[in-house]
Formats: sequence, C-alpha cells, structure tokens
Amino acid sequence: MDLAFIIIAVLTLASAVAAMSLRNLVHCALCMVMTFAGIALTFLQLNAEFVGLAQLLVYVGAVAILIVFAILLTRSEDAKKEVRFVSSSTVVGFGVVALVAVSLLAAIQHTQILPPQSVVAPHVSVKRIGEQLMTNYVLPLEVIGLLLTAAMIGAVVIAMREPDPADSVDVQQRNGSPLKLDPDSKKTAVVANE
Amino acid sequence: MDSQLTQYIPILILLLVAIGAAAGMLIASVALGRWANRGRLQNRAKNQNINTPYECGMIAVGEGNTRLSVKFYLVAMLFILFDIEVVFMYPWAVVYRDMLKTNGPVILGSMVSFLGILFIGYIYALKKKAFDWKS
Amino acid sequence: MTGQLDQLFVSLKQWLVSFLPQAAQPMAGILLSISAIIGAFATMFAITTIMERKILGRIQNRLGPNRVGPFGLLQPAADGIKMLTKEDIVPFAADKLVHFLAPVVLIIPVALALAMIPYGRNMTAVDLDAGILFFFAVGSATELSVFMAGWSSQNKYSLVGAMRAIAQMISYEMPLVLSTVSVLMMAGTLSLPLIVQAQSGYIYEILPRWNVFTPWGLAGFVLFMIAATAESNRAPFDLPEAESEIIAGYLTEYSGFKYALFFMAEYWGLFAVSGLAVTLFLGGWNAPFPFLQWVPSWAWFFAKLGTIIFGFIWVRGTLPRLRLDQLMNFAWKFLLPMSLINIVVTAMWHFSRVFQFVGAREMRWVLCALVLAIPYFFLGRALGEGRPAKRNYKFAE
Repeated sequence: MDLAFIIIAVLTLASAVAAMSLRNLVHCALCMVMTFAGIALTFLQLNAEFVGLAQLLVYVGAVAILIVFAILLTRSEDAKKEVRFVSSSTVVGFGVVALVAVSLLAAIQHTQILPPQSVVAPHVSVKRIGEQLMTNYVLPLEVIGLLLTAAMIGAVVIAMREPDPADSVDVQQRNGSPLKLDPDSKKTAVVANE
Repeated sequence: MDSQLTQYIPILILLLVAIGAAAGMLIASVALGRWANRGRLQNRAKNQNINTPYECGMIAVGEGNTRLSVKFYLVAMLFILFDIEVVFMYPWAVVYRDMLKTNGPVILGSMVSFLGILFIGYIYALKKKAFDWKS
Repeated sequence: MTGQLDQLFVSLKQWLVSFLPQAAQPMAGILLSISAIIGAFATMFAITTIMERKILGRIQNRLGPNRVGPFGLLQPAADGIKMLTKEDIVPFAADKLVHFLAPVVLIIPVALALAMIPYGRNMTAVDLDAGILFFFAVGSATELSVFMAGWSSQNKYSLVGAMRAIAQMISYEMPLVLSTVSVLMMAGTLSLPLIVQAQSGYIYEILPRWNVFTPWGLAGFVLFMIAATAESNRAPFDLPEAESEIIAGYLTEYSGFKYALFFMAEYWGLFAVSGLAVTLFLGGWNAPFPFLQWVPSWAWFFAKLGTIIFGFIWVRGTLPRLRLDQLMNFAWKFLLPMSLINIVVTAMWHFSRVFQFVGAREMRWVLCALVLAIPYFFLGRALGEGRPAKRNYKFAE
C-alpha cells in the first residue's frame, strides 16, 4: 500500500459517502464529480494513463453535466418532499445493486491472483491501445459504435416525445401575464431561446 | 512512488499553487474590501437590499433556480456520445500512420464503419429536429 | 550566441537551481517553471486587457483608456487595485461555499492547461505522454465551474447564463476536439512537444512544414479557432455573458476579486487554447523560414500567440452576437460534420502519399481541398436562412 493510493481512496470514498448523504441534490452531484475524479486518479495511479484521462474527459466533462441538467430538469418541490423509504424504486434499486454486486464478486472470484512481483504494471502507451483496438478488438469497437447509436436514438426519442413542450408557456408569458413561477405548472418556465 | 505517477508531481504542485493563489487572493480581497468599505458596512443594517439577487432593479420573484428546457438535456446526452467516440478516435489517430503501411484497409475500414454507424444516429437526430432550437 | 539566447530561460533556471542542494533541485526546478508560467501569464493578462480596450477603441473610433499612466498603460494596475478593494457581495440566497469555490475551480484547469504547452525548445513545464488528452480532460472541468457559479448565485439570469454557457461549451467542444484528431494522425503521438517536432523542417528548403499549410490543416485550424472562440465565450459567441440581455450571465452576482478571478481565468483559458492552436497548427515554436532561425524559439511562440489574440480582439470588434438557435445550428449542423469530413480528408491525404507520379503532390492538394470545399458549400447553404426579404423602412426614409 502506498501513500498516494490511500489518500486517493479516502478522498474517493469520502466524496461518495457525501454524495449519498447530502440533502441538496446539486451538492450531491458535485460530490459525485469528486468521486469520478478520484476514480480517474486511481487509474492514473495504476499506470493506466489513457483510461484515467478518458475517465476525466467523459465523466467529469460530460456525465457530470448530464447529471446536473437532469437535476435542474426535475422540480425542486419534488426534492423537498419526504421520500418513503420502501417504495417500488427502492426495491428495484436494491435488486440492481445486488445483481451488480453478485456479478462483480463472481468476476473477482474468477480472477487469477497475480503474482506479487508483477506489481509494477507495464507502461501502456496510447499507441499500444490503438494497435490492440485496431487488430484484436475491431469487432468490440463496432459493437460500441452500435451501442452509442442506440443510445443516441434513445435520447432523441425520449427527449423529443412531445412536439414542443415549451411553446404554450412561452406564448402565455409573452401575452402579458408577468413572469411568475407557477409551482403546479407542468411546463418549463424558462424558455431558453431568443 | 514507483510509477508513472511521478510525472504528475509537477501537476500536483501546480494544482496546489493554483488553489492556494486563487483562494489566497480571494480571501485577501474580501478582507481588503471589508476594510475599504468599513464606513458603509456599519450602516449595512439599514440597507439590506444590496444582498438580494440582482435582477435589473426589480425585486426577484420566485425561486432562483427554475426548470430548464429539455433541449439542454438532449445536448448533454449527445455530447457524452460524441465524447466517447473521441476517446476511441484518439488511439486510432495515433496509430493511423504506422498501421497504414502494414494493414491499411483494416485501419481505414474499421474507423469508417465506426463513424458510419454513429453517423446514422446523427442523421436520425438531425431529421428529428433534435438540433433545432428555434421553437 | 543564438543558441544561448534561445535557451536563455532554460539556462537561467538551471543556474538558479544549482545554488540549492542536490536533493531539492528537481522540486525547485518545478516550482520555478510553475511560477514563471503564472507570472508570465498574469503579466500577459494585464497587457491583453489594456491592448484589447485600446484596439476596440480604435475599431470603434474612440480613444480607449488613456488616463492612467503614459497612454493609459497603467490601467490594468488601477483596475486590479479597484477590484481588490471592492466589497465582496454575496447574495442572501446564495450557496456560500459553492459561490466561493466556483472561481477557484475555474482557475485550476486553465492553469494546468497552460503548463502543458511547449513555449520553446526544451521549454515545456509538464511534458506528458498524453499531453493533449490531458489538456482536454482538465479543460472539461471549466463547464462545471460555470455551472457552480450560475447555480449558486440563485439568480435567474445567472442560471440562464450558465445553462447557455454550458450548452454552448459542450456543443463546441466536439469540433474543437475532433479538429485535433487530424493533427494526431499526422504526428502519431499525443505529446505536444513531439507534435511541434513533427512540424519542423522545410519543404524545398524554404516552405515551413506547418500543418496549416495543408488542406486538412487549414480547415482544421479554422474549425479549431471557431470552436475555441466559442469555448472561451468570446464575441461573437458571447451570449452566455451577454450584458445587454442577461446582465453578464453567470457573473451577475460576482463582485470584487471573485469577478476578477473569473475574468483572469477566462483570459488564461484563451491563452491556453490559442497556445494549443499555435502548437497544433502553426508549428509551435518553429521559425517560419530557415533564414529566420536565429530568432529564439520562445519569441516565435509568443509572436504567434500574440497574433492569434489580436485576431480574437479584431473578431470581437467586428462581428455581432449570434442568437442561441443560430449558435446551436452552427455547432451541430456545420462544425461537427465538417470536422468529421476533415478527419476523412486527412486519412485520404495520408493514403494518397504513396502515389509517385509527376505532380502527385499538387494533385492530392487539389483533390483534398475539393473534398473539403464541396461539403463546405452545401452545408453552408443548408445552414443559411435563405436570402433575407427586402426590408421596407416605413419611418426611416
């Protein structure tokens, strides 16, 4: 165990705990970003430079923004409402957690424990990754391409379901009634364009 | 500290220096600001309006954080997808020239098909007017 | 002599470090480079602000600041003192901690990004194998800082400004990153000093081997600069900060030195991304002609950087602000496909390297330029809103 690992691990875990326990959703999201950064540091510490930086790029740069947008999309009133502890979502959540945990444990169980002399991982350059990607892993790359396309189409389908949710509110606001936040309104209050 | 992590030591130091400098300057400025405005701050109890949100002189109505258009969410989602695409493109770009000599068709074909698959999704989003903000 | 001048700062650092005991030398060297970068760019920030105001004044047919010091040159110092002694105002409803942290979080990624750039021969503060990836990875944290600033202010203008800023930054980050891919294909590395090295040397002993002089390099440079303008929230892409619409957006509730820090970080981000453009497309610290190689490498770098920043100021003085829908259309319907096409053109460029017949070099130049020009024309046509209808001015005749 070296010192760097302990520091990084403690930071990551502490921010993860904070992300679960804080009351304000945005604070949780910011702590979550800290966790992502901590995981990226762990990768760097394991000599996986490319993976670490990619983690930073994708998670801190993109996923964090998505989470934040999702929080701001939901109603702030919902967040204040007391959440019942046992609900369908809790059950499903625990189910998913159990599944992931079981599969992870199974994976760990089946991993051969590496002999201790190979603790210093070989330096994996981006070039090596590229070579592997273009020789042994061409098919997974294409599958990832398919997956990303499916995700893109899914995002468009979900987000573009209604033809124009903002329109009616927009008109209403322009026709005189002062900008007021109606808590019961299901429509978006901020019309971002123009 | 055996590893590659040593080449990040300068970055760590820079990080600490940047945080220290920024936080130090901020704290110094807060203190100096208090000192420079000490006369005005004594009368602060009479004038609390300075700390209300600035909305063009009107008293702010409602909460500060309002809900957003769903378009923002969509843009963030598409951003993630293209970001991941870039992550796969960087290693490819690095080896492109070397591998062109040994097996050119594979390196060209694999990335063209990867991009082609993604391009289908892009065209779909385009046709669904996901990029049109003029509502 | 020229070699000494070229390595002036490197040898100065070594000389200073040599006074210290052996064990402390690497650490001291790092600290020295870091403080040199921070000091140099703080100075450059001051110079750029005054030059920007002067040049904008000239463009708008007025004088610009001319009261403090000779020709108003001490204006940045006066501004700094003013900012330092301003009262620090934090709104009641604001999230105090996040409000305080936002400018600090913004300054970190830009400072880290600045350390990546090779400023001259042997003058890279932090030389990473994956330098450019690191640049973009830390650069992505700026969006988070903008969000923190906008959200924590609990002000509608701030939030709208921050959301606009983030949407704009993530939309333009794609063309920014994708336009660098073609350079990486050329250099075959992610390390910035090696990318500069790949652009050294001269064709026919006179023409520089910079990326910008190839069709894909030129297109990449233009795409990169447009995206960089949007990334650093400068005019004509300054609608997150549009003073006349949403009163400076996420900066509305910031005063005093917090505002100054945001301002400085924004300029540092501009320097960093301009420095990256110089490194990737304009040959870094390489001299444009072989007979000009006696000029030190760092002088070339800063000359190029200055030129790019002058270009930014000129654009700011010339172009009007875009609308949000125009902005998004431009990023997703024009820049993104163009940057993908540019990558394909780069692949073609390397692929056609094997042709050896007479005039092959010119042939592939024209061919690649054509492949870029045709989609440029059609995408541009599709983007336009058609010819505007003729306006009738009822009252202005």
